[in-house]
Amino acid sequence: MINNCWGESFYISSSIAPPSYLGTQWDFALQFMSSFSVTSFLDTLPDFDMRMLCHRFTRAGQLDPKFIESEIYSGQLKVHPEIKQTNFGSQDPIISCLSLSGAIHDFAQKEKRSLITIRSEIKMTLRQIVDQERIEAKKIDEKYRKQSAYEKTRAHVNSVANGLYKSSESFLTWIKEVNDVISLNQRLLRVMKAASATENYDESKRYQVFQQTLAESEKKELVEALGFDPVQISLDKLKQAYELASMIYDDHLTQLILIQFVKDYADVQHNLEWSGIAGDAAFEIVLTALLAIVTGSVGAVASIGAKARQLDQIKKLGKLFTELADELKKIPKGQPISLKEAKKKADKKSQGKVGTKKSSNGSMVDKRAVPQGAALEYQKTRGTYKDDLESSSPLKNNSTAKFQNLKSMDPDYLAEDLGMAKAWEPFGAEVEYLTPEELSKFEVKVVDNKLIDAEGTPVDSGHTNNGKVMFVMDQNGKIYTGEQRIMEFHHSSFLAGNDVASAGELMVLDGQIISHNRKSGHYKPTPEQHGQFISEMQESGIDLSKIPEDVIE
Amino acid sequence: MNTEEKKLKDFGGTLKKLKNGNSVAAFSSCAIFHETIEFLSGKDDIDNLLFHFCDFKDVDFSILKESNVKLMSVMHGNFSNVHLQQLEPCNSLDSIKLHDTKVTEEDIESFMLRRPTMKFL
Repeated sequence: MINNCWGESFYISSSIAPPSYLGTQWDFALQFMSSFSVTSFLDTLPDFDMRMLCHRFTRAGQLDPKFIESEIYSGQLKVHPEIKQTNFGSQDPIISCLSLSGAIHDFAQKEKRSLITIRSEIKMTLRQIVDQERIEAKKIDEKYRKQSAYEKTRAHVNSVANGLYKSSESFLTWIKEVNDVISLNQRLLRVMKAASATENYDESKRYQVFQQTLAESEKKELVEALGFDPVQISLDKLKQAYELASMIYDDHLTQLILIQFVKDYADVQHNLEWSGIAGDAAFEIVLTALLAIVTGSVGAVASIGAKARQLDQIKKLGKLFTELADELKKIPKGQPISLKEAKKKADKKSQGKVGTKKSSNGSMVDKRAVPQGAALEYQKTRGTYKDDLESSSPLKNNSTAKFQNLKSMDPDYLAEDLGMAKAWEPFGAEVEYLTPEELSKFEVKVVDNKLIDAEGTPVDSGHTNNGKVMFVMDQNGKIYTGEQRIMEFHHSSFLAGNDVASAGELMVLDGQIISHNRKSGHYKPTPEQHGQFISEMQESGIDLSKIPEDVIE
Repeated sequence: MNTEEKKLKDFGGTLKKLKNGNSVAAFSSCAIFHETIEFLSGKDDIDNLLFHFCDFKDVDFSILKESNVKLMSVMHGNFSNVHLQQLEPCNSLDSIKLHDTKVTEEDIESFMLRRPTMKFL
């Protein structure tokens, strides 16, 4: 079974269709009428699928896409639409055929991926769209510069339909078109529902006729803009797409990604293409991508393809959004609140402790001195970082944890892994967040009074820019160290923005701690939290009370 | 790494190129001496400065008036009103971003009276 980037699944048979299926499910096997159509299909396959195809169907498993192409075209390989999994037993000829490659298990076992990974892929896909647009805009600009003043004027006047990019209409324009009528879509649904509800009432006949006429005219407009007839899609499917889109759009981090995408997209447009986005296009991007998937591509995909350069990416997005929605559904949510509200709530809570905006000495520091409430609140209600972690993660909160006095990250650093943290503005730094698997490589232990890294080498901070390494300690007393790289790798990187029991810096020489501090802008640990680190070290055999602590001004 | 970048590294900094093409001299968790600022002021190709949890030691930022630095960002650390006031004569500087520093809102208001076009991000 292979999945193309449209989210469609296919079973590949090395020969003709098995007789038992002839005339049934195989009726709508894909037909490749030209070598170009084969190439187009193969282009939609992810690299991994392509490698699997080559592995199974080329001589000696050579990576030879050209051979696969010619074999498919000559009918040696046949691509069939997916049949329900329940139809397949272990003796199924197709399964047997694929299982020879030993890969069926890999295909069947859907990789469980975290929200961080899915969001990251969405961001990458959107970035590809922007990059593609940047290239396109450059091409247009080059042609545009070569034109005379008269031709330039004409290009602007003619704009979309007759402009320089006649062959590839703008995705942006398409988004706008959809955006303009999307409210009609909802209206249409209401009208259709109302008409259906009043069907058996004579007195409402005129009203019905009016409604139906209105619906027809609106439908025409909608079909023209969306590129597909909503009647072909059941209300349930539309509703499903709307629900999923709303759920995804409520996900604060995804929303940030989409908003950034719209900005980036607009930025790279040549002014010939730019016609402005009415309203909030981000939601429509999610909805459209989901419609393409949820509706089984009834017309929508073909129509989008005719209009947009980014057909493949839109389909890929649809798949990713569906996956994201599935993961979001699993998160137990409280009453959802925005980050702003969370901050307000936390500020209110902290008023009694540090006053309002300023402390007694008038410093602005205090304004941010108790940010953990907001981060915690935000994380609890939106289910961001904590829920992203695997259940096996050492970071998972539990009441039996060694240390209960934890410090949350300054909420202004939230979404820094996506390059969208307020604290990093205007640089847009993308700070790396480690997965639990990657984290283990940064764990250090005390052996014979020395700090030893995961590879068994004594830690040494001599090679770093400032002669120090960062450390964080999780709630179970596990310590992780690493070199800070500004805007790339910070204290928050280790536990992916989660709470720490302690954080700071160490000067270490051949495993021996020379000095230590609680310097972390992300966490700003309290002396008590630093005390937890000292006691953990003490327990492991290193007495830090005799080693000077750097004073932080 | 060229000689200039190596020298910047010796001061504890790194040179970063942003997506918008600007160059940032970034410092993280290190001591900033007057020599560091002197070095930076002589670099024409640096557009932005970023200090993350730095310890400013006897620094006079007014020397940056000779530089082309347009944006300065200070996060955490002991950056105070004294340092902010030193930025007043730096004409090329049009934006300042402060995050969790010792500078108060009054300090900013007072600075704005003398440099009303300065943007505080």
